[in-house]
Amino acid sequence: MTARAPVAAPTTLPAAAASVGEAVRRAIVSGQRLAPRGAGTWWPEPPPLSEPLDLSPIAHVAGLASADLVVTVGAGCRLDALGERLAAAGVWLALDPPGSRARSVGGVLASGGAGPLAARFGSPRDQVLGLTAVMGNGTPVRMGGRVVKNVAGFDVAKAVVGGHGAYGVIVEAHLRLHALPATDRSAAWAGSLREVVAAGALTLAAGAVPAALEAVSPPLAADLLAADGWTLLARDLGGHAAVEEELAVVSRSAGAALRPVHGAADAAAAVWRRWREIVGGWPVLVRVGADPAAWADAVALVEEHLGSPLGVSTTVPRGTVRAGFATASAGALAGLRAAAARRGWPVTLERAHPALREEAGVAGALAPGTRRLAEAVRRVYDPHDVFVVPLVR
Amino acid sequence: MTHTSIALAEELAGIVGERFVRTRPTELLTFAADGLPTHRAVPACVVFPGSASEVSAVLARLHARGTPFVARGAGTGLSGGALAEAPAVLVTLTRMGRILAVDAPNRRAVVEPGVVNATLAREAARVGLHYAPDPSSQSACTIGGNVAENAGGPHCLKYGVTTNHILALEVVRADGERVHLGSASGEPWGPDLAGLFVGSEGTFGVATAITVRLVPVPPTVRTILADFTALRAAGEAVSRIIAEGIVPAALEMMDRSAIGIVESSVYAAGYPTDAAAVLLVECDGREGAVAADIARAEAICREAGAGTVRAARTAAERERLWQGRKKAFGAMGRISADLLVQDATVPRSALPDVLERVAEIGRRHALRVTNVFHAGDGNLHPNLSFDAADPDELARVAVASREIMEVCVAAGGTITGEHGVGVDKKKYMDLVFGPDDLALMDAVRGAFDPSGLANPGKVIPDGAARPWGPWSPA
Repeated sequence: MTARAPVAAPTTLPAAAASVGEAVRRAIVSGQRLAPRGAGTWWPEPPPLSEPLDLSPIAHVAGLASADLVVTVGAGCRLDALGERLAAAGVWLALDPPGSRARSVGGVLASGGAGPLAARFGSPRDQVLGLTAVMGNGTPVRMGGRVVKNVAGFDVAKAVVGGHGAYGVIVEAHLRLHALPATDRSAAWAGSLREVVAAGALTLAAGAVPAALEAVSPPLAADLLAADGWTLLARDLGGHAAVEEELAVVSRSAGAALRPVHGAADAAAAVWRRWREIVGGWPVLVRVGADPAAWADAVALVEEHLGSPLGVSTTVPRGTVRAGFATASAGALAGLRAAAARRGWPVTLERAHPALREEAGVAGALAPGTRRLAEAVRRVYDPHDVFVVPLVR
Repeated sequence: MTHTSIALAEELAGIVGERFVRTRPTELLTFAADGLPTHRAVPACVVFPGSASEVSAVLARLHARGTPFVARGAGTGLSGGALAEAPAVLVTLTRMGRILAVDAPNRRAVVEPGVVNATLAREAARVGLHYAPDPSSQSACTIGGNVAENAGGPHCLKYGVTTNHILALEVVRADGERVHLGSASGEPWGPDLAGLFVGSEGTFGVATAITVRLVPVPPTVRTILADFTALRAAGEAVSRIIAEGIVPAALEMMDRSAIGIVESSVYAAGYPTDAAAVLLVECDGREGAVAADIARAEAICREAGAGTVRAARTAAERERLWQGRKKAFGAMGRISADLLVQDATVPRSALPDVLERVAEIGRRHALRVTNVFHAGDGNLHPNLSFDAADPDELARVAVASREIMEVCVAAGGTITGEHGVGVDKKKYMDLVFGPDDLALMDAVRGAFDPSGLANPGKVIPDGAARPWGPWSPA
C-alpha cells in the first residue's frame, strides 16, 4: 500500500489542521481506519487494513523565539532539519530518541520515547508546552500554550504525547528549548554488570545529576566505543565549569569500581549519534520502567522471558531499561509484562513489526481499573476508533 | 440542616467516626473560603477521612446519593477551586498527612495527600534530597493540593512544576473506585493518565497516595539582589540571563510598590526603597558552575542598568534577601482590607511591555497594583489591593483583572501560570480556548467522572463547551 497524501502541504496551522480534520472525516464516512505517519522511519510498515495518514507535508517551523526558548513546529518537520534551524539561532531541543535523525517531531512526540538525555531533561512530555491535534472525530483542538508555565484548563495534551496516535494526531507543537551549551563532554568506564550496577548506584548516591548516565551491555558497548564489557557512559553539557565538576563527581564514583574507556570524550557526539542509530535499529525494542536501584533485575527479567538480547541500554537515573531483539513472540512478551507488573514495572513495546504490535499491543498488563479508565479516555479522543493503533492489549 | 443532610452526616460519621464530620453552621463557616477573597461558599458538611479506604467509602456513599463533593487540602488555593457550596460536601484531607516512604536510592517518596509541602522538603533533606516545587504557601499547602493545581513556585524555573515531579498516583474516582495511574519509575502504562490527572483541580477524583520524584540537594547556593531604576531594565535583564543559557534556580522580581510595602513591614529585608524594581537571582549546583553563573548574571544586571548588586555571603544573608520576597504577600495584607493575587504567564521577552500595560490599567482604574512575581518563567502576579466592602472598588477590580488577562493573552501568554482556574478564572477561559478545546476537556473530565459529582462548576465555563462526541455528516 502506498502512502497517499491527504494533506496538501499546507504551511499555515489552520489549513493543516482543517486538512487533517477533513481526512479524518472522510475516513469516518468510508469506514477506513487511519495510521498516522510522519517520516515513516520508526514504524515503516503500516498496520494491516489501514490507510496511512501522511503528516510529512506539515513541516513548518514557526515562531522560533530564541529569547523565550520556545519554538512552534509542524508535526512533519524532521528532527535533523529542526535541529539545524535551532542551532543557527543558538538554541536546541533536548530530545535524543532512538532512531533516525530524520524522524518527524510529531512521530517522536507521539511515540513518547526519550533518549539518554531524559536523565536530566525528561521525556517528550516534559518538552511540550502545547499542541494542536486532530481528534478521532475530525475536530482540531488546541491544548496548552506557548509559555513555560501554564495551568489554564486540563492538561489534555498529556494523553496525546506518548499516545502513539491513539489519542489524536499531532499537527503542531509548541516546544521548550534550551540555549546551546558551551561545552558537551562525555566519559565512559567499563567492568562487569555487577560493577556497573554498583558504580551507577554510587554515582546517584553522590548526588550526581549528569545530563546522561547510560549503562550499556557488552555488544552495544563494543559497537559504540569498542569497549569491552558492560559500560557506563556519562554525558554532561552546559557551562564549562559545570560540566567539568559534574563529570568529576561521576568519575570519582564510577572510576572507583570501573576501568576508564578511552576515546569517549573525543568521540562524544559520534557515540551518542550511534547510540540512537543502533538502538533505534533493533527490530523489536522493549522498554521497561524499572526502579533505578533495580535495573539489573529488570535486565534479568527481560532475558528470562525474551532470551538473549541484541543489546541493552539503561538510563540509570530513571531506571528505564531498553532491550533489543531480532524477534519476539507476543506470548513471551505477555509473560514478561505479567512478571514486570508484579514489581510495578510497565513494559512498552517501543518498536516492532506490525503483526507483533497488533498482537501484543504497545502497552499491556494494566490493572483492570486503569485499563477501564484508559479505554474510556480513548473513546473521548477517538470516538470512532478511526486511528488504528494497538495501544493497549 | 435538612433531614437529608442530617442523614448523610450520620452515614459519613459511620465511616470516619463522629468527630471527623462537621455540621454546625459556625464550623462550616471556617471552610467557606480559601485564599481567594472574592468568593465564599458554605458546604453542606465537612468530612475528614483518615485513609484511602475511608475516602473510597465516603465517595461511594456520596455517589450513591448523587451528592457532589469537593476535595480540599489546606485551603491555600487562590482561584476558589476548593470552595464547596451546599449540597456539596467538603472532603478535607489534612488527616492523611503521613509520609509513607522516602526512597533515597530511587530518589523518590510516597506521601498521602495531606502532607505539607515544606514537611516533605524537610524530610527529604535528611537523606540529601529535596522536593523541588515550592509554592509561596509551602509551609501550609499540601502535596494533594499541589497535584490538583499543578502548583509551581520560585524554584520551578530550573526544576519544573509539579507535573514534572509526579511519578505515580493512587486515585479514588467519584464512585469510590481506587485506581493506580503511572508507575514509580514514571513510565506510564500506555497513556499518561497520571499526567492527565495532575492539574485537574479536583474534578477527576481524589489522589490518596502520591509518588514524587526527589532531586539531590544542590551543594552550593548563591543569591544576589540587583536593584534597577526602571522596571523595563529589570525585565530586559531577565530575558538576557535566560537567553545566555544561565538557568537560575530562581529569578524573582518585585516592583517599587512591593519594595515599599515590604520595607515598611516587620519583614523588611533591606531592599532599596528608591528602586523601581529589584531582581532576586539564585543559582544552585556545583561551586565553580554557580560562581560562574552568578558572576555572569551580575554582569548582565549591571549592563542592563542595575544600580547596586548585593550578594548574600552567608545563609543568614540569603534568608534575609528571600524574606522580603517570601513575606511580600503577608506584608501586603497590611495596606488594604482585601488583596487579589492575580496570576498570568507571558513570554519572558514580553515582560517589560506587559508590566507597563498592567501599571497603566491600575492607574486608569485607580487601583494599587503591586507586582511580585516569577520573572524567569514570565509568571506575573499583579496584586490588586481593595476593599470588598466598597462595591465600586470591587467592580473596578473585576474590570482591571479582565483587562490584565487580555493584555497577557494578547502578548502570547495565558490566564494562569500556577494558581489554577477554579471559579475565579472560568470567565477568562474563552480568551485562550475555543468551544472545541473546552469540549475535549469537559469530555475527558467525563471519562474520569461520568457522574460529574467531583468538584462541579469549576474550570469549564458554563455553556462554553461545544457538545463532544462522534462526528456525523450533516
